[in-house]
Amino acid sequence: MTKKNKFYWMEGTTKKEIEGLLNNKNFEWLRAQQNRRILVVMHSIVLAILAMGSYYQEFKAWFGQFSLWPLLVMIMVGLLAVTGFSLLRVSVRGIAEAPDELLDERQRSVRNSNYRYSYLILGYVVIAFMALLAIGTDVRPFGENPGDAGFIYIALLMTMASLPSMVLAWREKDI
Amino acid sequence: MTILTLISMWAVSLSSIQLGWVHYVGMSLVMVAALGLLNFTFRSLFDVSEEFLDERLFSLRNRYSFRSYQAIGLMILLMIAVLNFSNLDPSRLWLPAISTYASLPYLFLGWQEKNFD
Repeated sequence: MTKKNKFYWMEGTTKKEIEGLLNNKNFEWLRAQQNRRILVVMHSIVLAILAMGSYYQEFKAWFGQFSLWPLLVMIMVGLLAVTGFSLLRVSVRGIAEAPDELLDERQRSVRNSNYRYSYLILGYVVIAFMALLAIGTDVRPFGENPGDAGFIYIALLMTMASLPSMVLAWREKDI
Repeated sequence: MTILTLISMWAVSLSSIQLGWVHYVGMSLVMVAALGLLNFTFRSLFDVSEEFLDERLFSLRNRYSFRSYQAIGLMILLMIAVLNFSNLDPSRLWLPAISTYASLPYLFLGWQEKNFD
């Protein structure tokens, strides 16, 4: 990676990417608050469906052992989750993941105040995840004979990554 | 002190030591004392409503929420990885996880901020 395109380890992003998003002139329609909120709701639904991917074997039994539908549906949900995440970042101009040095004072203040809410919401999300492990006897992601709970992990990690952009997209009137 | 308390709680919870209710009560008491002290020292900055904060405190709180979110994200990732490859009962990690979550913003603030009045 050249020096011009610095990689920010804590934020998991590059300088070029953030500058590109901050100066992006496309997708202006996506930046209206109402559209951003619709995107947040849709992304939340996709993440919930993604978490239910742990029922993949049941889907297979339902559609028939040799049906390709369950696989196609899960691939589609995965693609939708990644697309939703990318669109969310575009809709908030990547401010949620941008490092301090690439933002002006107003943008920094907007980003930080949203992280306060993201931190609180993340607490509830993780408590829900741990409660699911405690209550759901079939949910066995850990241990010697783990159940098929990989999708719950993926959904949890995806939620963690998307949450700051989701909160920003939901709360801010003007991006 | 709180960091050391947290590290010992994680170490005990991740170890193979048999834990009874006495151990959990003991750990809870130590953690409540440490959290209480942190809250008192930093005037419950992360737990009070916005109307009680002036602009400077408001900005401080938000800045450290950003750092805390990044750190807690990495920790969750690490925890999932550890649990996935070890044969541990996840219920042992409730207490250290909640304690870390509650104290992390205060720890960052306490460590990095030179002047907090």
